[in-house]
Amino acid sequence: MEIKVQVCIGTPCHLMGSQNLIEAVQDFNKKTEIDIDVEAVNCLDRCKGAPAVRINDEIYAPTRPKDLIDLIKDKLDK
Amino acid sequence: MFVETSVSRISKHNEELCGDNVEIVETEDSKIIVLSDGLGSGVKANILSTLTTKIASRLLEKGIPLEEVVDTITNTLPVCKERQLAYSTLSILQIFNDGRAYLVEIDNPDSFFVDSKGNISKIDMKKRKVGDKEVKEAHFQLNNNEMIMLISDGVTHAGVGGLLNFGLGWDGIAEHFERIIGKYQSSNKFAEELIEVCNAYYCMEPGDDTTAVIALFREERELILFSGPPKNGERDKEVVDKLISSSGKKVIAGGTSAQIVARELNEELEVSLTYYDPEIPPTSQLDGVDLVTEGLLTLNKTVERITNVNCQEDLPKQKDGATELARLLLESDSIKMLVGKKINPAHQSLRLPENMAIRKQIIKRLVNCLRDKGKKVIVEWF
Repeated sequence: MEIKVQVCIGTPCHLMGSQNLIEAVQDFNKKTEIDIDVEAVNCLDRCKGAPAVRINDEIYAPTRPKDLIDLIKDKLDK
Repeated sequence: MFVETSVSRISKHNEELCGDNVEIVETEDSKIIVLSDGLGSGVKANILSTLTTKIASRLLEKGIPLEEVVDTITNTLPVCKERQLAYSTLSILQIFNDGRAYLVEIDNPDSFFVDSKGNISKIDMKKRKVGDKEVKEAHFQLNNNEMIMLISDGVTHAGVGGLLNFGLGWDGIAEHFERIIGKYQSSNKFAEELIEVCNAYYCMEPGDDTTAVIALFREERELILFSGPPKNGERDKEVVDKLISSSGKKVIAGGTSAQIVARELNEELEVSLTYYDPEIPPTSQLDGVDLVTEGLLTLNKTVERITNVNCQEDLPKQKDGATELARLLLESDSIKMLVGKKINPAHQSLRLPENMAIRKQIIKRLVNCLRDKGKKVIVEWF
Protein backbone atom coordinates (compact mmCIF):
# COMPACT_ATOMS: atom_id res chain seq x y z
CA MET A 1 0.00 0.00 0.00
CA GLU A 2 1.42 3.28 -1.04
CA ILE A 3 1.54 6.25 1.28
CA LYS A 4 2.08 9.77 0.11
CA VAL A 5 2.97 12.37 2.74
CA GLN A 6 3.04 16.03 1.77
CA VAL A 7 4.35 18.48 4.39
CA CYS A 8 3.52 22.13 3.92
CA ILE A 9 6.48 24.51 4.24
CA GLY A 10 4.58 27.76 3.88
CA THR A 11 5.17 30.63 6.29
CA PRO A 12 3.06 29.61 9.33
CA CYS A 13 3.68 25.89 8.83
CA HIS A 14 7.43 26.49 8.73
CA LEU A 15 7.19 28.42 11.98
CA MET A 16 5.20 25.58 13.53
CA GLY A 17 8.04 23.14 12.77
CA SER A 18 7.55 21.58 9.35
CA GLN A 19 11.30 20.89 9.17
CA ASN A 20 11.02 18.59 12.20
CA LEU A 21 8.04 16.82 10.67
CA ILE A 22 9.92 16.22 7.42
CA GLU A 23 12.95 14.86 9.27
CA ALA A 24 10.75 12.59 11.39
CA VAL A 25 9.10 11.07 8.33
CA GLN A 26 12.45 10.64 6.56
CA ASP A 27 13.85 8.84 9.64
CA PHE A 28 10.77 6.65 9.94
CA ASN A 29 10.99 5.80 6.26
CA LYS A 30 14.48 4.35 6.79
CA LYS A 31 13.14 2.01 9.47
CA THR A 32 10.07 0.56 7.73
CA GLU A 33 9.67 -1.88 4.87
CA ILE A 34 6.97 0.17 3.21
CA ASP A 35 8.10 2.98 0.97
CA ILE A 36 6.77 6.37 2.05
CA ASP A 37 6.70 9.05 -0.59
CA VAL A 38 7.51 12.23 1.31
CA GLU A 39 7.30 15.62 -0.37
CA ALA A 40 7.31 19.26 0.63
CA VAL A 41 4.56 21.49 -0.75
CA ASN A 42 4.09 25.22 -0.87
CA CYS A 43 0.66 25.72 0.65
CA LEU A 44 -2.17 23.44 1.67
CA ASP A 45 -4.44 26.37 2.48
CA ARG A 46 -4.81 25.37 6.13
CA CYS A 47 -2.87 28.24 7.65
CA LYS A 48 -4.98 28.45 10.81
CA GLY A 49 -4.37 24.77 11.45
CA ALA A 50 -0.60 24.87 10.98
CA PRO A 51 1.45 22.73 10.59
CA ALA A 52 -0.47 21.12 7.74
CA VAL A 53 0.33 17.66 6.40
CA ARG A 54 -1.56 15.77 3.70
CA ILE A 55 -1.47 12.00 3.96
CA ASN A 56 -2.86 10.48 0.77
CA ASP A 57 -6.03 12.55 0.40
CA GLU A 58 -6.66 13.90 3.85
CA ILE A 59 -5.15 16.92 5.55
CA TYR A 60 -4.11 16.80 9.18
CA ALA A 61 -2.51 19.17 11.69
CA PRO A 62 -0.04 17.07 13.72
CA THR A 63 1.32 19.11 16.60
CA ARG A 64 4.43 17.02 17.16
CA PRO A 65 6.55 14.77 14.95
CA LYS A 66 5.40 11.81 17.08
CA ASP A 67 1.77 12.64 16.25
CA LEU A 68 2.54 12.59 12.55
CA ILE A 69 4.31 9.21 12.78
CA ASP A 70 1.31 7.82 14.72
CA LEU A 71 -1.01 9.06 11.95
CA ILE A 72 1.16 7.37 9.32
CA LYS A 73 1.27 4.12 11.29
CA ASP A 74 -2.52 4.26 11.56
CA LYS A 75 -2.86 4.54 7.81
CA LEU A 76 -0.44 1.69 7.26
CA ASP A 77 -2.39 -0.59 9.58
CA LYS A 78 -5.64 -0.13 7.68
CA MET B 1 23.64 49.57 -20.90
CA PHE B 2 24.62 50.59 -17.40
CA VAL B 3 27.46 52.39 -15.68
CA GLU B 4 28.35 50.65 -12.43
CA THR B 5 30.40 52.86 -10.10
CA SER B 6 32.31 52.12 -6.91
CA VAL B 7 34.41 54.24 -4.60
CA SER B 8 36.94 53.10 -2.07
CA ARG B 9 39.16 55.30 0.05
CA ILE B 10 41.22 55.80 3.17
CA SER B 11 42.14 59.04 4.89
CA LYS B 12 45.61 60.19 5.76
CA HIS B 13 46.73 58.67 9.05
CA ASN B 14 45.53 60.59 12.10
CA GLU B 15 43.28 62.87 10.09
CA GLU B 16 39.61 62.83 10.91
CA LEU B 17 38.39 64.09 7.59
CA CYS B 18 39.38 62.90 4.14
CA GLY B 19 40.86 65.58 1.92
CA ASP B 20 39.66 63.78 -1.20
CA ASN B 21 36.07 64.05 -2.33
CA VAL B 22 33.95 62.15 -4.84
CA GLU B 23 30.55 63.07 -6.26
CA ILE B 24 28.55 60.95 -8.65
CA VAL B 25 25.82 62.64 -10.66
CA GLU B 26 23.19 61.07 -12.89
CA THR B 27 21.68 62.95 -15.77
CA GLU B 28 19.03 61.66 -18.14
CA ASP B 29 21.48 60.01 -20.46
CA SER B 30 24.77 59.84 -18.59
CA LYS B 31 26.60 59.28 -15.34
CA ILE B 32 29.24 61.77 -14.22
CA ILE B 33 31.99 61.11 -11.70
CA VAL B 34 33.84 64.01 -10.10
CA LEU B 35 36.99 63.45 -8.04
CA SER B 36 38.93 66.17 -6.26
CA ASP B 37 42.00 66.10 -4.02
CA GLY B 38 42.36 69.12 -1.74
CA LEU B 39 45.80 70.57 -1.16
CA GLY B 40 47.25 69.39 2.14
CA SER B 41 45.12 67.25 4.38
CA GLY B 42 42.45 67.32 7.06
CA VAL B 43 39.71 69.89 7.42
CA LYS B 44 41.13 72.48 4.98
CA ALA B 45 41.69 69.94 2.25
CA ASN B 46 38.26 68.49 2.83
CA ILE B 47 36.60 71.88 2.44
CA LEU B 48 38.57 72.66 -0.70
CA SER B 49 37.88 69.36 -2.39
CA THR B 50 34.23 69.35 -1.34
CA LEU B 51 33.73 72.83 -2.74
CA THR B 52 35.30 71.80 -6.01
CA THR B 53 33.28 68.64 -6.46
CA LYS B 54 30.04 70.23 -5.34
CA ILE B 55 30.39 73.18 -7.69
CA ALA B 56 31.32 70.92 -10.58
CA SER B 57 28.52 68.46 -9.96
CA ARG B 58 25.85 71.12 -9.42
CA LEU B 59 26.79 72.81 -12.70
CA LEU B 60 26.76 69.47 -14.50
CA GLU B 61 23.41 68.54 -12.98
CA LYS B 62 21.96 71.76 -14.34
CA GLY B 63 22.99 70.66 -17.79
CA ILE B 64 25.94 72.97 -18.32
CA PRO B 65 28.15 71.25 -20.90
CA LEU B 66 31.20 69.59 -19.42
CA GLU B 67 33.65 71.66 -21.45
CA GLU B 68 32.13 74.84 -20.06
CA VAL B 69 32.20 73.52 -16.51
CA VAL B 70 35.87 72.66 -16.88
CA ASP B 71 36.64 76.15 -18.14
CA THR B 72 34.63 77.83 -15.39
CA ILE B 73 36.19 75.87 -12.58
CA THR B 74 39.75 76.07 -13.81
CA ASN B 75 39.41 79.80 -14.17
CA THR B 76 37.95 80.15 -10.69
CA LEU B 77 39.92 77.48 -8.80
CA PRO B 78 42.25 79.45 -6.55
CA VAL B 79 45.94 78.85 -6.85
CA CYS B 80 48.29 78.83 -3.92
CA LYS B 81 50.63 81.74 -4.51
CA GLU B 82 53.55 80.12 -2.78
CA ARG B 83 53.38 76.68 -4.28
CA GLN B 84 51.89 77.66 -7.63
CA LEU B 85 49.51 74.73 -7.31
CA ALA B 86 45.74 74.72 -7.59
CA TYR B 87 44.03 74.42 -4.24
CA SER B 88 42.48 71.24 -5.38
CA THR B 89 42.80 68.84 -8.25
CA LEU B 90 39.88 67.85 -10.42
CA SER B 91 38.96 64.87 -12.55
CA ILE B 92 35.63 64.50 -14.30
CA LEU B 93 34.50 61.42 -16.18
CA GLN B 94 31.22 61.48 -18.06
CA ILE B 95 29.89 58.26 -19.58
CA PHE B 96 26.78 58.33 -21.75
CA ASN B 97 24.34 55.42 -22.06
CA ASP B 98 25.70 54.66 -25.51
CA GLY B 99 29.27 54.38 -24.25
CA ARG B 100 30.58 57.78 -25.34
CA ALA B 101 33.01 58.97 -22.69
CA TYR B 102 34.66 62.26 -21.91
CA LEU B 103 37.50 62.41 -19.39
CA VAL B 104 39.14 65.52 -17.98
CA GLU B 105 42.09 65.51 -15.59
CA ILE B 106 43.60 68.48 -13.84
CA ASP B 107 46.58 67.69 -11.63
CA ASN B 108 45.47 64.15 -10.77
CA PRO B 109 47.53 61.07 -11.73
CA ASP B 110 46.77 59.29 -15.01
CA SER B 111 43.65 57.17 -14.98
CA PHE B 112 43.51 53.49 -15.81
CA PHE B 113 41.66 51.91 -18.71
CA VAL B 114 40.81 48.21 -18.52
CA ASP B 115 39.42 46.49 -21.59
CA SER B 116 37.02 43.54 -21.52
CA LYS B 117 39.92 41.08 -21.63
CA GLY B 118 41.60 42.63 -18.60
CA ASN B 119 44.36 44.53 -20.39
CA ILE B 120 45.32 47.69 -18.55
CA SER B 121 46.55 50.82 -20.23
CA LYS B 122 46.78 54.59 -20.02
CA ILE B 123 44.32 56.74 -21.90
CA ASP B 124 45.60 59.00 -24.67
CA MET B 125 45.00 62.51 -23.41
CA LYS B 126 45.25 65.80 -25.25
CA LYS B 127 46.74 68.68 -23.32
CA ARG B 128 45.54 72.25 -23.43
CA LYS B 129 45.97 75.33 -21.32
CA VAL B 130 43.08 77.00 -19.57
CA GLY B 131 44.41 80.09 -17.89
CA ASP B 132 47.52 78.93 -16.02
CA LYS B 133 46.46 75.37 -15.73
CA GLU B 134 47.22 72.36 -17.82
CA VAL B 135 44.06 70.46 -18.61
CA LYS B 136 44.24 66.92 -20.00
CA GLU B 137 41.22 65.63 -21.84
CA ALA B 138 40.08 62.71 -23.95
CA HIS B 139 36.98 61.72 -25.88
CA PHE B 140 36.57 58.01 -26.51
CA GLN B 141 34.09 55.17 -26.84
CA LEU B 142 33.53 52.53 -24.18
CA ASN B 143 32.49 49.01 -25.10
CA ASN B 144 30.77 46.34 -23.02
CA ASN B 145 32.70 45.31 -19.89
CA GLU B 146 35.32 48.02 -20.09
CA MET B 147 36.42 49.89 -16.96
CA ILE B 148 37.96 53.22 -16.08
CA MET B 149 39.62 53.88 -12.72
CA LEU B 150 40.28 57.41 -11.46
CA ILE B 151 42.69 57.87 -8.58
CA SER B 152 44.08 60.53 -6.31
CA ASP B 153 47.87 60.69 -5.86
CA GLY B 154 47.67 58.89 -2.53
CA VAL B 155 47.31 55.75 -4.66
CA THR B 156 50.39 56.21 -6.83
CA HIS B 157 52.37 57.35 -3.79
CA ALA B 158 51.40 54.26 -1.81
CA GLY B 159 54.45 53.16 0.13
CA VAL B 160 56.08 56.54 0.56
CA GLY B 161 56.93 56.68 4.24
CA GLY B 162 56.17 52.96 4.37
CA LEU B 163 57.52 50.06 2.40
CA LEU B 164 58.72 51.83 -0.75
CA ASN B 165 60.87 54.86 -1.37
CA PHE B 166 59.09 56.33 -4.32
CA GLY B 167 55.68 54.76 -3.97
CA LEU B 168 54.00 52.10 -6.10
CA GLY B 169 53.57 54.42 -9.05
CA TRP B 170 51.16 53.98 -11.93
CA ASP B 171 52.91 50.82 -13.09
CA GLY B 172 52.92 49.25 -9.64
CA ILE B 173 49.19 49.79 -9.30
CA ALA B 174 48.58 48.46 -12.81
CA GLU B 175 50.54 45.31 -11.91
CA HIS B 176 48.39 44.66 -8.85
CA PHE B 177 45.23 45.37 -10.78
CA GLU B 178 46.23 42.90 -13.49
CA ARG B 179 46.80 40.28 -10.84
CA ILE B 180 43.25 40.51 -9.50
CA ILE B 181 41.37 41.06 -12.77
CA GLY B 182 39.77 37.62 -13.00
CA LYS B 183 39.06 37.45 -9.28
CA TYR B 184 35.88 39.49 -8.96
CA GLN B 185 32.66 40.35 -10.67
CA SER B 186 31.89 43.75 -9.19
CA SER B 187 33.87 46.98 -9.39
CA ASN B 188 33.35 47.36 -5.66
CA LYS B 189 35.70 44.48 -4.88
CA PHE B 190 38.43 45.76 -7.22
CA ALA B 191 38.38 49.24 -5.70
CA GLU B 192 38.36 47.82 -2.16
CA GLU B 193 41.27 45.47 -2.75
CA LEU B 194 43.45 48.06 -4.49
CA ILE B 195 42.97 50.52 -1.63
CA GLU B 196 43.78 47.72 0.82
CA VAL B 197 47.01 47.09 -1.10
CA CYS B 198 47.88 50.79 -0.84
CA ASN B 199 47.15 50.72 2.87
CA ALA B 200 49.45 47.74 3.25
CA TYR B 201 52.31 49.54 1.45
CA TYR B 202 51.72 52.50 3.76
CA CYS B 203 52.03 50.03 6.67
CA MET B 204 48.50 50.98 7.71
CA GLU B 205 49.52 54.62 8.19
CA PRO B 206 48.61 56.31 4.91
CA GLY B 207 50.80 59.29 4.14
CA ASP B 208 48.01 60.92 2.14
CA ASP B 209 44.32 60.58 1.40
CA THR B 210 43.98 57.68 -0.99
CA THR B 211 40.96 57.32 -3.26
CA ALA B 212 40.03 55.05 -6.16
CA VAL B 213 36.83 55.38 -8.20
CA ILE B 214 35.88 52.76 -10.76
CA ALA B 215 33.31 53.03 -13.53
CA LEU B 216 32.38 49.77 -15.24
CA PHE B 217 30.37 49.98 -18.49
CA ARG B 218 28.21 46.89 -18.88
CA GLU B 219 24.79 45.57 -19.81
CA GLU B 220 21.96 46.58 -17.54
CA ARG B 221 20.60 43.85 -15.27
CA GLU B 222 16.88 43.77 -14.57
CA LEU B 223 14.83 41.71 -12.16
CA ILE B 224 11.12 41.27 -11.56
CA LEU B 225 9.74 39.97 -8.25
CA PHE B 226 6.21 38.72 -7.59
CA SER B 227 5.11 38.44 -3.97
CA GLY B 228 1.62 38.11 -2.53
CA PRO B 229 -1.58 37.05 -4.33
CA PRO B 230 -3.55 39.89 -5.96
CA LYS B 231 -6.51 41.08 -3.92
CA ASN B 232 -8.79 40.28 -6.83
CA GLY B 233 -8.20 36.77 -8.16
CA GLU B 234 -9.26 37.91 -11.62
CA ARG B 235 -5.98 39.80 -11.89
CA ASP B 236 -3.90 36.67 -11.34
CA LYS B 237 -3.42 36.13 -15.05
CA GLU B 238 -2.43 39.77 -15.60
CA VAL B 239 0.28 39.56 -12.94
CA VAL B 240 1.64 36.26 -14.20
CA ASP B 241 1.77 37.64 -17.75
CA LYS B 242 3.73 40.66 -16.51
CA LEU B 243 6.12 38.40 -14.66
CA ILE B 244 6.78 36.02 -17.52
CA SER B 245 6.93 38.56 -20.32
CA SER B 246 9.60 40.74 -18.70
CA SER B 247 13.27 40.42 -19.63
CA GLY B 248 15.85 39.81 -16.95
CA LYS B 249 15.64 37.60 -13.87
CA LYS B 250 12.28 36.40 -12.57
CA VAL B 251 11.66 35.69 -8.90
CA ILE B 252 8.63 34.63 -6.88
CA ALA B 253 8.57 35.06 -3.10
CA GLY B 254 5.65 33.25 -1.54
CA GLY B 255 4.06 29.78 -1.60
CA THR B 256 0.60 30.92 -2.63
CA SER B 257 2.06 33.28 -5.25
CA ALA B 258 4.14 30.42 -6.65
CA GLN B 259 1.07 28.19 -6.89
CA ILE B 260 -0.76 30.92 -8.81
CA VAL B 261 2.04 31.15 -11.37
CA ALA B 262 2.32 27.37 -11.66
CA ARG B 263 -1.42 27.12 -12.25
CA GLU B 264 -1.51 29.87 -14.89
CA LEU B 265 1.49 28.42 -16.72
CA ASN B 266 0.28 24.85 -16.31
CA GLU B 267 3.71 23.91 -14.95
CA GLU B 268 4.78 21.74 -12.03
CA LEU B 269 6.07 23.36 -8.89
CA GLU B 270 8.75 21.23 -7.28
CA VAL B 271 9.53 22.00 -3.67
CA SER B 272 12.93 21.12 -2.29
CA LEU B 273 13.27 19.23 0.99
CA THR B 274 16.63 20.77 1.85
CA TYR B 275 16.94 23.26 4.70
CA TYR B 276 20.25 25.11 4.21
CA ASP B 277 19.30 27.36 7.13
CA PRO B 278 16.75 26.16 9.70
CA GLU B 279 15.17 29.60 9.84
CA ILE B 280 14.49 29.74 6.13
CA PRO B 281 12.03 27.44 4.37
CA PRO B 282 13.33 25.56 1.31
CA THR B 283 13.12 27.03 -2.19
CA SER B 284 11.19 25.57 -5.12
CA GLN B 285 11.75 25.03 -8.82
CA LEU B 286 9.44 26.29 -11.53
CA ASP B 287 10.26 26.20 -15.23
CA GLY B 288 10.73 29.71 -16.54
CA VAL B 289 11.39 31.27 -13.12
CA ASP B 290 14.91 31.81 -11.78
CA LEU B 291 14.09 31.54 -8.07
CA VAL B 292 11.04 30.61 -5.99
CA THR B 293 11.21 31.20 -2.25
CA GLU B 294 8.78 31.27 0.65
CA GLY B 295 7.33 34.71 1.39
CA LEU B 296 7.70 36.89 4.40
CA LEU B 297 10.18 34.99 6.53
CA THR B 298 12.55 34.78 3.58
CA LEU B 299 12.04 38.42 2.56
CA ASN B 300 12.75 39.52 6.12
CA LYS B 301 16.02 37.63 6.18
CA THR B 302 16.86 38.90 2.70
CA VAL B 303 16.70 42.49 3.97
CA GLU B 304 19.10 41.50 6.75
CA ARG B 305 21.51 39.87 4.33
CA ILE B 306 21.50 42.84 1.97
CA THR B 307 21.96 45.43 4.70
CA ASN B 308 25.02 43.60 6.03
CA VAL B 309 27.11 43.67 2.84
CA ASN B 310 28.51 46.10 0.28
CA CYS B 311 28.02 43.93 -2.76
CA GLN B 312 26.84 40.45 -3.70
CA GLU B 313 30.35 39.00 -3.53
CA ASP B 314 30.46 39.68 0.21
CA LEU B 315 27.39 37.52 0.85
CA PRO B 316 27.95 34.24 2.72
CA LYS B 317 28.45 31.24 0.45
CA GLN B 318 25.10 29.73 1.41
CA LYS B 319 22.33 28.35 -0.70
CA ASP B 320 19.28 29.21 1.40
CA GLY B 321 16.40 31.19 -0.09
CA ALA B 322 17.30 34.49 1.54
CA THR B 323 20.95 34.43 0.45
CA GLU B 324 20.03 33.40 -3.10
CA LEU B 325 17.44 36.17 -3.28
CA ALA B 326 19.85 38.72 -1.82
CA ARG B 327 22.41 37.71 -4.43
CA LEU B 328 20.01 38.15 -7.34
CA LEU B 329 18.78 41.49 -6.02
CA LEU B 330 22.28 42.88 -5.41
CA GLU B 331 23.40 41.78 -8.87
CA SER B 332 20.52 43.70 -10.49
CA ASP B 333 20.43 47.39 -11.37
CA SER B 334 16.70 47.89 -11.68
CA ILE B 335 14.05 45.93 -9.87
CA LYS B 336 10.31 45.79 -10.44
CA MET B 337 8.06 44.36 -7.73
CA LEU B 338 4.55 43.06 -8.29
CA VAL B 339 2.96 42.87 -4.85
CA GLY B 340 -0.48 41.49 -4.06
CA LYS B 341 -2.73 43.05 -1.44
CA LYS B 342 -4.66 39.91 -0.51
CA ILE B 343 -4.40 39.44 3.22
CA ASN B 344 -3.03 36.08 4.28
CA PRO B 345 -5.03 35.07 7.38
CA ALA B 346 -1.97 33.24 8.64
CA HIS B 347 0.02 36.45 8.91
CA GLN B 348 -2.56 38.01 11.19
CA SER B 349 -3.58 35.16 13.43
CA LEU B 350 -0.24 33.55 14.11
CA ARG B 351 2.03 34.82 16.83
CA LEU B 352 4.85 35.86 14.53
CA PRO B 353 8.37 36.69 15.79
CA GLU B 354 8.78 40.21 17.17
CA ASN B 355 10.61 41.79 14.25
CA MET B 356 8.24 40.16 11.80
CA ALA B 357 6.38 42.65 9.64
CA ILE B 358 3.39 42.03 7.45
CA ARG B 359 3.75 42.23 3.74
CA LYS B 360 3.44 45.97 3.14
CA GLN B 361 5.95 46.82 5.82
CA ILE B 362 8.42 44.20 4.75
CA ILE B 363 8.19 45.26 1.12
CA LYS B 364 8.80 48.88 2.15
CA ARG B 365 11.89 47.83 4.12
CA LEU B 366 13.17 45.82 1.18
CA VAL B 367 12.58 48.69 -1.23
CA ASN B 368 14.38 51.14 1.03
CA CYS B 369 17.39 48.94 1.60
CA LEU B 370 17.69 48.31 -2.15
CA ARG B 371 17.47 52.02 -2.93
CA ASP B 372 20.17 52.61 -0.32
CA LYS B 373 22.35 50.29 -2.34
CA GLY B 374 21.74 52.41 -5.45
CA LYS B 375 19.17 50.17 -7.12
CA LYS B 376 16.23 51.57 -9.08
CA VAL B 377 13.06 50.07 -7.62
CA ILE B 378 9.46 50.29 -8.86
CA VAL B 379 6.58 48.68 -6.99
CA GLU B 380 3.21 47.85 -8.51
CA TRP B 381 0.44 46.91 -6.12
CA PHE B 382 -2.39 44.60 -7.10
